[in-house]
Amino acid sequence: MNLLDRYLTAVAALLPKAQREDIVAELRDLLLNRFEEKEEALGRPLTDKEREAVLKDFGHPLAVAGRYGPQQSLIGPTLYPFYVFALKIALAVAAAISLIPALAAVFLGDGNPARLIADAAFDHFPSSALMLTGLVTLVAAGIERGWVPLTGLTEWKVSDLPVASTKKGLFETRFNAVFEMVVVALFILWWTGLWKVDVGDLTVKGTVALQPSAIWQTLFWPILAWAAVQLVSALVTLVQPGRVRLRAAFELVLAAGGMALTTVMWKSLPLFTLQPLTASSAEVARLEHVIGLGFHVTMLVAGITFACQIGAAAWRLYKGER
Amino acid sequence: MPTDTDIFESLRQELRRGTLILAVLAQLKVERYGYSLRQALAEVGLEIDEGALYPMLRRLEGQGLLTSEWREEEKRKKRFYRLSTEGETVLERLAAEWRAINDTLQNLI
Repeated sequence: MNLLDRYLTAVAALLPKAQREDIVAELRDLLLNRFEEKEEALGRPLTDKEREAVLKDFGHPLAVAGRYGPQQSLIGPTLYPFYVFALKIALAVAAAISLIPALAAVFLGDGNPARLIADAAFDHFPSSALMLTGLVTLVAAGIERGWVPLTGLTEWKVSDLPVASTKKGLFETRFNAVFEMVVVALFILWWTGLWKVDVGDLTVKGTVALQPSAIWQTLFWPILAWAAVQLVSALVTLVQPGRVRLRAAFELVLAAGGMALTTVMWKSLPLFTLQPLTASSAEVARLEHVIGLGFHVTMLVAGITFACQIGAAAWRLYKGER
Repeated sequence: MPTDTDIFESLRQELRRGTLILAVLAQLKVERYGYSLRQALAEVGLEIDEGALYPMLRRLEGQGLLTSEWREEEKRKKRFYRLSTEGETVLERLAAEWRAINDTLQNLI
């Protein structure tokens, strides 16, 4: 087998089967013409080295075969800005899911802070970022080839865009939504026991143990449902920040749900009972009073906040254009 | 960082890309095979890389603008291309477009 055959065999292996024979025959003629042209210029037959130089100049078999492919780029220029935007979000999510658990562990004193941050930055973040980048690239390549149907890029409306605001920019709104999604997702994982966080025994300076009351069992599903709605609400804000009324509807449901949960908790106070370990009964009673007062104030603030949110969301639902 | 030469070369390639299709279609009013087409273009001052020319011919044929057939010439099988009826119509329209762009640009530059 001469050099030309070897070269064409390498190209042929990379071509679509249906066109292989046809393209190779044409390439053979073209390359033979190149040889002849050079021989004519030199006035003698080419050496093997000179033939090899002609073939090398024509291009690597991968590049030559690639020019006959229907798709010349993984992600085309139309899709590219959307791809870059999705990548930025993916990297922000990767940073959040790597750093937030580490910061929580640092806050809870669960390990060496420097080690926890270093693990998050050099182990968890690179692996999460690579995985999410790969996923986004796969989806973008699928959209480019029409495997993943997506009408959002062509059927968008100007009225879907967020209302211009001097208070809060689009980036900030979306960044907050991403942050909220990550935090709520981590909460759901922790709440359902899928993410184990060892917080140790709940004690106050080792003198009194805190025992969660039965209301937490009763509220397990309502709190989970509330968090799930919060997650969907953040997703809506991320994808459709201009849908003011839809977002207001979600906020109304969440604030009303939050108010209902707060009311039930208020009626079920205390949320923790105190078991003395080494403390005297007088100390336990004083602590119960302080903790009880703290919970009452927290519930009151939460109730007022939810009431304000209900009012604001109802107003936006009524006045919003979309 | 790209130099002025790099930038000029990139813009030149971009400018040429669309016009090469017009030149190829115009040259294929007469039947030619790939190599002779490249030579014909080179003779009028339009050098085109064969690596780009052959896939372009296939794409144009796939779009119905060219027809082709294999024939033996100079003791070798060669694929001859020529403009199809649809190709002739498209060439006429592209040429009109080219002249309009050219007239506009003449007034601008």
